[in-house]
This record gives sequence, structure tokens and C-alpha cells, in this order.
Amino acid sequence: MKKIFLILFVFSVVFLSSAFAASGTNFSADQNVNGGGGQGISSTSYATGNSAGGTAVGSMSSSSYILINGFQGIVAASVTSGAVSTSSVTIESVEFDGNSVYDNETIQPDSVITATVTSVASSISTEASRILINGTATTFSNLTSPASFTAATGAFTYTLNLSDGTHYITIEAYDLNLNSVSFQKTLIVDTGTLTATQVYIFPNPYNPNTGTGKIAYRLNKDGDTSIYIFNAIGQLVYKRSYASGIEGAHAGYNELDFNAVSDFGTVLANDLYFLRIVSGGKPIGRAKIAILK
Amino acid sequence: MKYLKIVTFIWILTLGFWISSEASLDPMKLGVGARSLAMGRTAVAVSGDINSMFINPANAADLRDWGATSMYTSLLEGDIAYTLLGGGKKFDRGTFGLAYMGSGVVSGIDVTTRDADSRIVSSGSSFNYHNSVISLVWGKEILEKLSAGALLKIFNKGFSGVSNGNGSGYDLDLGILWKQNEKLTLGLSQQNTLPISMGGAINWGTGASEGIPFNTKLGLTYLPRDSIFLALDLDYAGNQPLVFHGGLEWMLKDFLSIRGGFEQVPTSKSESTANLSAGVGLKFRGFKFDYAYYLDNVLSVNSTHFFTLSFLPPEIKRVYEKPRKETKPMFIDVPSDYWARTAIEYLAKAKIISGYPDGSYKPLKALSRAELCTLLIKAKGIPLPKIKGKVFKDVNARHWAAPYIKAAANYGLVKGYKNGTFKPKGLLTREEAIKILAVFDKLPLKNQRPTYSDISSDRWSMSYIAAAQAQGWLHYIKGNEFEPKQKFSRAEGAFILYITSFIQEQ
Repeated sequence: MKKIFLILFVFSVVFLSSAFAASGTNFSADQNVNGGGGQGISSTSYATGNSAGGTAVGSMSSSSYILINGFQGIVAASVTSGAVSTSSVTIESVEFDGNSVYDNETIQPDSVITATVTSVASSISTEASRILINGTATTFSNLTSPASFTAATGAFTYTLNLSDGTHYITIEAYDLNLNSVSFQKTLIVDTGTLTATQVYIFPNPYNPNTGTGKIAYRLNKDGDTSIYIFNAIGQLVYKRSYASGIEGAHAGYNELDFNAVSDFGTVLANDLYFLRIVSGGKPIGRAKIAILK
Repeated sequence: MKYLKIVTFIWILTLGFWISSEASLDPMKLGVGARSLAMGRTAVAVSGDINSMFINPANAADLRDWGATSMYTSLLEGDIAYTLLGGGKKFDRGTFGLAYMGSGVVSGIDVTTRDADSRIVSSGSSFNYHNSVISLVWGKEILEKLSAGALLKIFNKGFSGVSNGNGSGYDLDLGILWKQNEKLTLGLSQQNTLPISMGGAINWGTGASEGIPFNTKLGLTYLPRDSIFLALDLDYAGNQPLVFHGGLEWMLKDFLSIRGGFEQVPTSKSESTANLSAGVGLKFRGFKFDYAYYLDNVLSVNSTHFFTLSFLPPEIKRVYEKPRKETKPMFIDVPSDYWARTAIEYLAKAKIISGYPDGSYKPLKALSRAELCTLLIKAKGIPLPKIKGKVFKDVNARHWAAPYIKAAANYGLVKGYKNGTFKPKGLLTREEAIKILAVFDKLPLKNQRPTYSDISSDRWSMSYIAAAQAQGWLHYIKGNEFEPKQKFSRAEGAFILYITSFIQEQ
């Protein structure tokens, strides 16, 4: 009788220990409890493995948590113009047609998004990571050519196909340990008449003796452009041309070097000059430039 | 000769193809006068236009008395506009002129900065720009057919609201003009001749000093016909290709001219483009309105309108012009291109003068006292008085000119000598004839000395000669001397009578 009670006692202790451990604040479980999944993680408050209960039936996330398969993970995301990262997941330098963009900038309707998505702690989860275009999501695992995600290098490519208007682009990256980060931008597509806005020279007045100046402007779309600079009696003193798509002629923000050397080989004299962004023989943007040495 | 030496010396002194690495803009390169701009910006040898003196100062010598001008244009789709006001007047020492050209204030020039994303944006503040030049011009006929001139330009430009953002300076233009004949004129203008070392620069509050690029302009004008005027200019600035300007003016009516032109415009050290221009001119009682449309080949939206309003006291230019239609000359010794042909033929048709039976007019023959009296009385249409007895001791009632001499004496045009004679065959000297004609046309007498070196202020005929010169009667006299004792010719008599206000008003 004594032996039976002893066996029951030991069994109860083992059973109860397991039960309470699952509900206490300090617990741990290894991965691969049911097989599959990635590396287990732990924190001071919890630890949970991947795929502990089975296959995923859905997930939701917000800026503070992700619930996947009934388990919670902490998300820390910061959205910046360059790389975004948590402690281990990073979205490197998202570019649209090779150019970095800011909110409310214009892009081409068929812009190609390129980025590098990496994780220090574990591999990027292609099941969880996704791109959302105006709320419609495509996971990395469902990307079809020419879009792609290469896990080995973290290279991400996606070709847009947008109509005119405002669009919301989001990239969410998760690693297998549920660390994640997201990149979000509000961008505009305008395939109407090519226009140049916010045309500036920096600094203004500009002193060529203090270094290279910059000419900056925004285009609503890619297009062949030229910069014409006229002197104060309307004579052309400077002209440069840019083919569609390159710096100076792509949708969005363009910034070009300017050293104030005229086409006559001399540095522009102190005076006021008139800059025109020209396309198709017509001015599409203008600015006034002051040279003062 | 002295003047020629001085001009040549200054020219040689400044004729250097210096090139500044940082050359400031001379706003006068825009051009002066819509007439010039309509004709491809030709102006170097364009005499008879008050505006051209501000391009080639030697043209100032052509101003007969005084004149005023103004011009307005708006460039670069209204980004900057220029206004010019100017005038000139002829004095003993030459013609002096003054002009102001200014851009007004160009506002709204953005100060820029970088935002938090390092993108270039406007800082929200701005500054203004202004640009002006004052021109002081002098020109004078220094030899027969040759004029010279100089033009001092005072520049001021800058950015208000910017520390040390203003600059000022000056430079000098020189010019000569040679009127080979009434058809052909040649001109040469050296603009901005002073190198930086001689002060030809704009000096800025920042300490920068920038030269103003020299420009050599050669020009000619040609009148193949009375109503057709051709002009051609050649332009050379050191770091730009040689460029041509050409223009044509067709005077459809006395009051209406149409114009066209072309201009090569440098776009780089080795390239240029060609721009076309066109315009129209209207004249009314000394007022002239000129319009030009300048087509910009670089950027068509930069095509520009120019407007000029000027005033020159009415002058009789038609005597320098050949008859509208190429008609056969009336007199065998007054050919098609004779300087007084128009006057002679007009008065002959009006039966005020007549030729000789052999078909000649004998323009160089001296005019007698009787002949001049006859001309003037016929011109006035004064009824001839009846003659009873002698008019003067040597003019009896049977003298062919007796009625005319009597009428002229009654009119106060002539009087006899103290001994009671008139000497009807006496040949008039130039000063005697000018006096009679001045009284005939009631010219206001001038108390100032005329510009002729051989007319002193105490000469009895001084005020009559000054009045005639001011009225524009004496432009046919070349050189610096009036030659008061020279016999007054039939050609001179016809010419001056023709341009009197009395005849012109007929």
C-alpha cells in the first residue's frame, strides 16, 4: 500500500509541477515540442517557442503585439526613412526605383521597390513578413516573379502597379522569433503633365567660392528634363539635360550639384539669375538664383 | 585733327582683348529702342534715332536740337521688367545725353535651408533684387562726315535684405561714326573699355570686384532707296563667338514703318543660335511710337515685347531723302542723288523757281538780291504792287524784278542801301541770305552763339545764323565753319525755302 501511495505522490508532484509551470510568470519551453519551428527565445517574463501548438491559423498585429497561433510576441518598431529595425530585425534602405522617398512624394506607377530585410537573431519568416499595398497584403512566401525575397541575402524586390492617386505602402518584416519591424509610406502617383515643384537652389544666395551648391526640385513623374539658367537680361548662360529616370529627371525629389560655371567657361558673376526646369521645350518649374561672392 | 588724335589715342589705349574670369552683366546689352530691337538689335551706325546714342555715343552728334525717349519691356514671363528714360540736347560743345535704365524691384527670392530629412526647402524668408544703370553720353561731329562720342555708365545692383549684398561701379564706351554719303554710314563702338585696373568694375560689399566685359561692335547702314533702310552689326566679346545682327526698315508712309531683323545670340563659347524680330513704327508731329516683337529661339515662352515712345521736335528730313519713286530728274544738272533735288523740283513744280532754257537749273550759281526777293514773294503769294516810278535808284519800273523788290521791301524783308540803291544784281552772301530767310519765316532769334567756329558772338548775323541752325536749316553745311561771306547758291536758296515752316505747311 505504501508503495502505491509513494508512486502516486511522485506522479502528482511531477504532474502538478508541469501544470503550474505553464501558468506561472516564469516558465520556459523548448522549441520543437511538437516538431518544426525555429529557435526558441526567452525573456525575463516569458519564453515561447515557435509552432508550439501546431500550424498557424491566422495572426494579428499592432504596434505593440503580435498574436500568432495564440501566443504573444513583443513588437518594437520604428519607422524611419532609412533602415528600420528592432533589436534584431532590420529593413535596410527601402528605395523606389533606386531613390529613397518620404511621405507624400511622387513615384512612378510601376516603381520597383528594393530593400534588404535581415534579422540578426533568426531567419526572416516568409510566412509572416509581407508587403501591403493600400491594405492588401502579400506575404513574402507568396511573392511571384518579378517580385522576390531571397532569404540568403535578404534582398527584397517588388514591382508596383498603381493608378493615379494616393497610395499606402507598408512592408512588415518578421523573423522566426517574432521580432518584427515595419516600413510605411504614403506616396502619390501622378501620370499627368510633367511638372516641377519646390524648385530651389541651396544655399540662396549662393557663393561658388564656398563649395558646391545644389539645385533641387520635385517631379510628379519620370521625364526628360533640362535645366536652363538665364541672366538678368534673358540670355542663356547655363544648360544641362537629363534623361528620364536618372537623377534630375525621376519622379519625386531630385537634387543636383551646381558649381555656377557658365557654358562660357566663367564663373557666374554676382547677380540674379532665372532658372527654368524645361521639358518638351516648355518651362515646367522655375526659381530665382542669387549669386553673391 | 586734334580731336581725331585724341580719339585714336584713347582707342588704342583701351583696345585690349582682356577677359575677366568673372564678368558682370551690363544691362545696356539688352538694347535701347524698339526700332533697333525690331531690326535685330542693330544700332551702331543707325543715325537719326535718339536711342542709338546709348549704344554708339557718336550717334549723339546727329541730334539736331533735343529729344527724349522711353522704353519698356518685360522679360522671362514677367520675372523682370526694364524701363528706360532718356534724352539729349545739342550744345556748342556737342550733344549731351542722359538715360536711366532700371529693373525695378524683383521680389520673392527664396532663402533656402535643409529640413529634418535633409531635403532642400524654402526657409520661409526671402529677399529682393534691383539693377540699374545711368548713362551720360557726349557726341560731336569732329571732322566732315566723322563724329565721335563717349558714354559713361554708372552701375548699381544688388540684393536688399542680404548682408553686403550691393554693388556699384562704372565703365566707359567709345564710338565713332562715319557718314560716307547720304546712303552709307559706318560705325564702330567699343563698349566697356576700362579694364578693372582702371576702375571698370562693379565692386561689392562682400569685397568682390568683377569686371564688365568689353564688347566691340562694328556696324553699317545703307539706304538703297528712299524708303528702305538696311542695317548690319558685327559683335565681338572676348569669350563668345563672333555674332551678326541684321535689320531692314521699310517706310510705307511718312508716318508708318515696318521692320524685321535677325540676331545671332551666343549660347556657349563656341555656339550661337539665331533669333528673329519684327516691329512697327508710327510717327506723328514729332512723336514716335515703336514696337518690337523679339522671338526667342532658345525658349519660345521667353519671346518678348518692347515698347518705345520718343519725341524729337519736328524736323524736315525729307530733303535728305530721294523722291519716293525713281522719276527722271527735272533739270539736267540736278541728278537723282543731288542733295537738294527734292527741294528744287518741288519749288519748280510750284512755279516758285524755274530753270534755264537749256534745261539746267545751275544749282551752284550764286543767287542775286533780286532773285531772292522774287522767290520769297512768289512763295508767299503776296499780291504784286503797282509800280510807279523808281523803286530804288537802280530799280526802275521796267526792271523785271521791280514788283517783287517793292513787295519785299514793303514786307520788311529787304531794304536799300544808304545811297538809295538796291543793287539788284548784287550776289547775296550766305549770312545776308540767312538773315532775309529768317525774317521771312519769322524765326525766333537766338541769343546764343552758333556752333560754327567762324561766327563770333559780336558778328551782326550771329543771332540769325543761330536761329537757322537751331531750326535745322544748315545741316547741308559740312564741317565746322559757316563761311558767312560765301556766295549763297541757288541750290541753298531752294533748299532753305523748301524747309521753311511756311512752305512745309502748304
